[in-house]
Amino acid sequence: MTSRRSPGCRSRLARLFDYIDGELSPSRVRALESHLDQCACCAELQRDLRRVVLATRAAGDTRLPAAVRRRAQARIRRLLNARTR
Amino acid sequence: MRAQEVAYRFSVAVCGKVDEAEDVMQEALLKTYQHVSRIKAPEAFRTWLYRTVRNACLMRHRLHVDEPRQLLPLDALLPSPGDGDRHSIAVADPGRGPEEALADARLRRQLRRAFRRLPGSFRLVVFLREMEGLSTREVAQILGISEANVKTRLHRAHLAMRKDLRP
Repeated sequence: MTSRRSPGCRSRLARLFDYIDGELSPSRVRALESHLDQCACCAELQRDLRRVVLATRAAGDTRLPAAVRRRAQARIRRLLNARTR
Repeated sequence: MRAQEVAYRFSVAVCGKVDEAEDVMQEALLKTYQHVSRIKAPEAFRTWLYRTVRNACLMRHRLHVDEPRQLLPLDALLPSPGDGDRHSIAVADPGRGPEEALADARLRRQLRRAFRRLPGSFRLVVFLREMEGLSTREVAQILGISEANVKTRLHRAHLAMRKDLRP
């Protein structure tokens, strides 16, 4: 395994993002994984990027505060009632 | 209601201030309720809602939503220690030990720091694409940019965030 990034590594960057997103064809997955087995630099980048994606996706589970929900529902009801009169 | 959650999160993201976000959310939801029957395809609803929130904020401020410093303190949306069950970054697991809890807290701090350092236009794409789970096409439609531009911003954001999120 090499730890130096080759010129080919840079050209594989976009493919690496597609790989993490599961958007690569099986043959390209095999080719990329073969490269990751041999290139410590790209393997590390792949782990880092996967961690970023997983962390940001997990952070998306934000709940609406109950008080905000109640205020919004009450105001919308008032506005709808006012406009239908 | 899911639409409320969506409208609130994106209102905070676009408006930048939580109190203003509430007003924008309410205006956007009101429009949504009034026009929902015109939306034929269910998949178009989400995009429509985001655009409505964005437009409501634009009407309110008459500013451009892509101005990052004034409008996009997205770290306000991210979980922080002490938020309790309002935010959750990890899958809830009662069997998790203190070490895992510490790791989660550390990851939250790292994520907030990484977000703060991102340019605003990158943060908005990360927010819509990763946190909200929209498709590249949907994000492009909402922001009025090309799909290629969405991908470029997203990838650059990921690369910028990677050092902050290392274990």
